[in-house]
Amino acid sequence: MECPICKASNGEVKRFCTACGTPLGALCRRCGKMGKLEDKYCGDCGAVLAAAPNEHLFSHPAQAGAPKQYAPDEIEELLSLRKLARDEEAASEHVTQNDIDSIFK
Amino acid sequence: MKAPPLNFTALVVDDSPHSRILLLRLLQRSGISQVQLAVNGAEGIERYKASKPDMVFLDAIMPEMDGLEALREIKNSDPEAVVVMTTSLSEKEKVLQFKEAGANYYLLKPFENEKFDQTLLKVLSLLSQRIKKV
Repeated sequence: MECPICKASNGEVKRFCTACGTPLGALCRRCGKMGKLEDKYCGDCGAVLAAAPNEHLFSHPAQAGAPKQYAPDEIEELLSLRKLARDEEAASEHVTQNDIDSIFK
Repeated sequence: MKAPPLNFTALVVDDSPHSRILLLRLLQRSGISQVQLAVNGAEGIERYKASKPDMVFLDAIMPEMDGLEALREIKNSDPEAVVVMTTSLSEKEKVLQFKEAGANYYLLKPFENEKFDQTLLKVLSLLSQRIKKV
């Protein structure tokens, strides 16, 4: 896969460009499969690909030694992205009979 | 000691012969002798509509028609149906799906006889309350 920014050639399954760090794909947090950056849902398990709608947050990779400065709204979006990932983890969480009894109380 | 006969009817819907026989025996041991058996969701719905049993023990993963679809169909035809899901599915997301679709109780397989008895008591209590109201 060719990096759209620096044109470096990367492997097929790379999530980030190995030369400049630009995101190349969206990793499904549920099944671990790699989708295209523009995909909204995982083609393997159907989970929401959290990174895709937030592509712009990653579109300017940090220069070496100069961490990217995020605007307040970008920080808020990153935090909501983290929350989304946690919610997805919770959705696939396994429960015990006691938990189920509480749900069906 | 064998439990006195109860005038309730039950339907067990499960593709596993082992599970069907186990549930049949547990129900009979508890005094419920009128138990019908079905091997998939489609047959379960057919039997439910034909005889309206007091309680349904419904597996989730079955060929032809799964438990969720069968549950929705049963609840659609009879919102008062008392359905106990008996399944090994333990993902919270799935459990909540069944709850949302109208399941009354959820028994996680494999279960101990004691847990089955507790659930059956809840079912009988619910049915008794309904009888009192009528």
